[in-house]
Amino acid sequence: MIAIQELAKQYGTFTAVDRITLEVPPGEIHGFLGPNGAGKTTTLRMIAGLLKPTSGRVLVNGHDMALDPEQAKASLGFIPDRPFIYEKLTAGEFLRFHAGLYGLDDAGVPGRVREMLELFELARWEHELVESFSHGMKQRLVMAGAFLHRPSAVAVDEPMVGLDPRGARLIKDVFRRMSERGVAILMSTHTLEVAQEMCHRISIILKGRILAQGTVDEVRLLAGGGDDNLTAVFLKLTGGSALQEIDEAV
Amino acid sequence: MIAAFPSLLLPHLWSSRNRAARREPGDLVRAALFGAVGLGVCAALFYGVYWLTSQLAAWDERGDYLLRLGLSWIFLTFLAFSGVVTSLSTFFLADDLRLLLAAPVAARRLFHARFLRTAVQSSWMVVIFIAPVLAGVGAARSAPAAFYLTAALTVIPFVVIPVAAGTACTLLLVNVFPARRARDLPMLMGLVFAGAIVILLRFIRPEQLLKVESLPDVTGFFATLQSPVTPLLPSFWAGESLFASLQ
Repeated sequence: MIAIQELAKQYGTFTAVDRITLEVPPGEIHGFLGPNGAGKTTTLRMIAGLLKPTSGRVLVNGHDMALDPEQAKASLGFIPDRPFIYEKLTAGEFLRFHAGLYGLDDAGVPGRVREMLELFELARWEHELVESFSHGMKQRLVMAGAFLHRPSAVAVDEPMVGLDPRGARLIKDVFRRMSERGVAILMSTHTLEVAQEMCHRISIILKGRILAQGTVDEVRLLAGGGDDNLTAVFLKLTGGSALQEIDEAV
Repeated sequence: MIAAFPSLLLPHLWSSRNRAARREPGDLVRAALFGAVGLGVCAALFYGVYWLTSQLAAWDERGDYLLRLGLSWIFLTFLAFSGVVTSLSTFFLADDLRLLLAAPVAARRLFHARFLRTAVQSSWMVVIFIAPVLAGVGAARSAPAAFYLTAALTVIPFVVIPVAAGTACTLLLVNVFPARRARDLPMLMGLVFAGAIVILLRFIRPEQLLKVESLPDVTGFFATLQSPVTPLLPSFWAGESLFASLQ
């Protein structure tokens, strides 16, 4: 479970995240939507323990990120928007290092690494250097690392960027399977179709504040739209309806 | 949760091993070229220092004095500056920081791993090029084996101390300057370092050495080089240890 309570982040006088509250229970895929600069990445980085909140709390599976960061991080898988991989390592070495970081039992590591490489269709490249991988393969390897230690919560920032349709399908399937096994997934995305298709609930954030939260249907009702698709609802809520009109006119 | 902090350095070790194992066309030529240049520089340093130390022997006490000062300063100056620049990169700008900070790694372990990496990264070249310098001094003075043993033992702490000072300086600077300006710090430190050298040179007025009429002041010149802070510097202790083992 991921729970954030009255979470805020300020940079000087600029408020990037403004006292937001959100809860992702086990087994839920929660879409975190918002335009560029709305505060999605800042929120996810606070959840991952990379940024210190100005105020508020982050709880991961009951562990407070400020008070018990090691336990909180141990049960969280974090996939950043711009993930880092050591280019001169092989895929297998990268995952073995990851296993060490999360304290996986040495005896079980080779099997688990193999399992994750197969799940993300990378087994053929276990002994290849990461530098030779395509963007999509790197993205899948990072996700394999994030799920390697069997986290019960995952925070993921823009997982579909740069993936081909097959890669995107694979990631969607993996996320669904993980959520069926009780993993709480908080996923920021720009791809509204992905949110509509995958997320049990969504939150729409703008200028650091959550404007709407609920299932897609609940958010649609909140926006006052009957049969609007999520894009129209999103644009209504975030003030981008003028853009949509231009789009439709074109 | 890796228990021992050196495990955090595994990716760098594995990367180096992979780099060495998977040769690309031209690697051998490049390695030979750079190896030859490195050996050439080492040889030049050895013979240059050998010649200089031999010449200083003719200056009796003044020669000894200059040799002690030289041995004192080679350790500190470049290592401390190198430590500042490297620690900025390893502690604050390294690409893998987010990966490690998102993992359940205790801050102390991460700090130790970063410090070890900073020490190795900032000093390996200095250590490699100090070796022929010390060998040159030892050969010119027909030093006993104790000199080389002292040199080997002295290098480790006197690599670590300046790098620790440089790292402390960086941590202080980054806490004072906004993180966004951190990338400008190496340039700022370079300017401060260059400025300090200019001020130091003007302070000690080395041109006095060239004036025949000022020869009686040469001792005073050396005294200026040595006081008042020199005896407090770890490099001075290293230099004194090495000089003592030369006798």
